[in-house]
Amino acid sequence: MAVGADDVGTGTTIVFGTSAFEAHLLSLNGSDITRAVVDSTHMGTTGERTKIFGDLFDAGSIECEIAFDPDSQPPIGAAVETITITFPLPSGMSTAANVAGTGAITAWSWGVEIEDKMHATMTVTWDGETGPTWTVSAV
Amino acid sequence: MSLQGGLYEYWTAQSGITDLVGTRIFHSMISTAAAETKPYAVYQVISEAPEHHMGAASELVSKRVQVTCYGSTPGSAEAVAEAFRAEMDGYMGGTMGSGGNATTVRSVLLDGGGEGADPPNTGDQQAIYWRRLEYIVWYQRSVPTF
Repeated sequence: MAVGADDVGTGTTIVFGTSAFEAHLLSLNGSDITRAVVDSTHMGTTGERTKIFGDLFDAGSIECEIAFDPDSQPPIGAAVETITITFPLPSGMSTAANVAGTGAITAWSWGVEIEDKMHATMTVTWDGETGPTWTVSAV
Repeated sequence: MSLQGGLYEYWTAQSGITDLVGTRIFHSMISTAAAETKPYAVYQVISEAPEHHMGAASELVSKRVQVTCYGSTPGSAEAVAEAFRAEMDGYMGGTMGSGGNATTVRSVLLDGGGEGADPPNTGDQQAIYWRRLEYIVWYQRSVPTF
């Protein structure tokens, strides 16, 4: 598979399908995407320890840094909804890559400091019921 | 491909800029004669930060581009600077320039600036006022192969 051109993240968006929560995004970090590792080492094993891997994986969560707007808090009590992250449109493409699935905001915190921009962080956790599904960019 | 050439073509296609300075947008320096007509702008790349990965140079590079806007009054210099800001800050995902100057610009962010004035050198000269803008321009360019 050909590797695309390196790019900046500017222009990335996150859309909450039902709550329609909006914020000025500063950064997104996908985290805790894991697959179980089971140690299968036994008394007869020689050399390295052996491992087997789970069939299921945890889709993890997304840490979002946003500009804090006290008039618009992340809807932590909202029902599970479709969440879509769309990445910058690569040069020469007509549709951008995205990842979409169901999930909810499961944590958020905010910070207000003297002479500094108000900011907040929120955690979006995929529930694993639908997706998340990655869609590649297309011409 | 030339970022500087692409920027020049882009700026001279924006009426918000050309309504004020026409095509009096100069690269790095300006002649004494040309400086007689104000306002005008001078631009230059003041640093470059290329990216690399284990296999080669990355297509992605950022340059810090300085645009200094000159006018015969503080307000004139500020108006030109505001015109550049309106056409540049937050630009993303387009091609600036054409032909050999066509440049794939991914992101432009205003990252600093300042203002000041240069006093006249002689009694028959006037002070010149300036407003400086510094942008970080992320763009993609060809990768050297060996």
